[in-house]
Amino acid sequence: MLEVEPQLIDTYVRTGKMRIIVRPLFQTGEDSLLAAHASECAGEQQHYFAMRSAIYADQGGLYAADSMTAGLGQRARDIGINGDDFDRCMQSDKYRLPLLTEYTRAKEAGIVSRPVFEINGQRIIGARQFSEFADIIDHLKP
Amino acid sequence: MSIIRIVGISLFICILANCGSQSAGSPPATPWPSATVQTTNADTTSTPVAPIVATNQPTAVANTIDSLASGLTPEGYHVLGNMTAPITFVDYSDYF
Repeated sequence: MLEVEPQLIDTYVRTGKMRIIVRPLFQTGEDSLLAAHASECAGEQQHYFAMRSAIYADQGGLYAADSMTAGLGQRARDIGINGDDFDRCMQSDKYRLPLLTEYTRAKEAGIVSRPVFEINGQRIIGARQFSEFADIIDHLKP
Repeated sequence: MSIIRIVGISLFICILANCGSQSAGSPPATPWPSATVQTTNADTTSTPVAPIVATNQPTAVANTIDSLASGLTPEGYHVLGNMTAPITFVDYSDYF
């Protein structure tokens, strides 16, 4: 989604035709959970999607970093988030349980691989090109 | 750029984006932070943070995507875009 999502946003979200709902999965374990937690903490400062984009934009660097927590903290600061508030949120671990609960719900709903998408309820399993999403979305447009 | 100026710009962005509607400090009483829909900057046609983008600071990513409407579903899922958009795209994905 690193390359496709910006196209979806520019074409359909900015024009008011579509909204994107994020339901994170944690199939790569603790690092994924930390990244999702970081996005939630960024959301407290109204930067959830900016943080999500920043993480996606540097997946390799973050994953290879000595400290995922430190790397996430730096990305947060890079996009203008208050670092002290962000760090406190991360240390609180307060989103861990809700995120894990949501992951359990997703699995119970049959989401057993990644990525999975739903467009107006139509489930799509696996990555797709923008043109493939566009074909589906354009047929749904009123 | 000085810290004071960065803080000033952040406050400016916050005011323009009407971002005071979401609690920043308290943990959720329910599994997710809110049981009601919350929105920010619901006008998708406006770009109130454009002057900051022009400065080419590290916050460019934040400014670009944060200029869009966003919020939470009643279930607490993060939403990007107009809450009443006719098409809903749900993204189940991992960060890595």
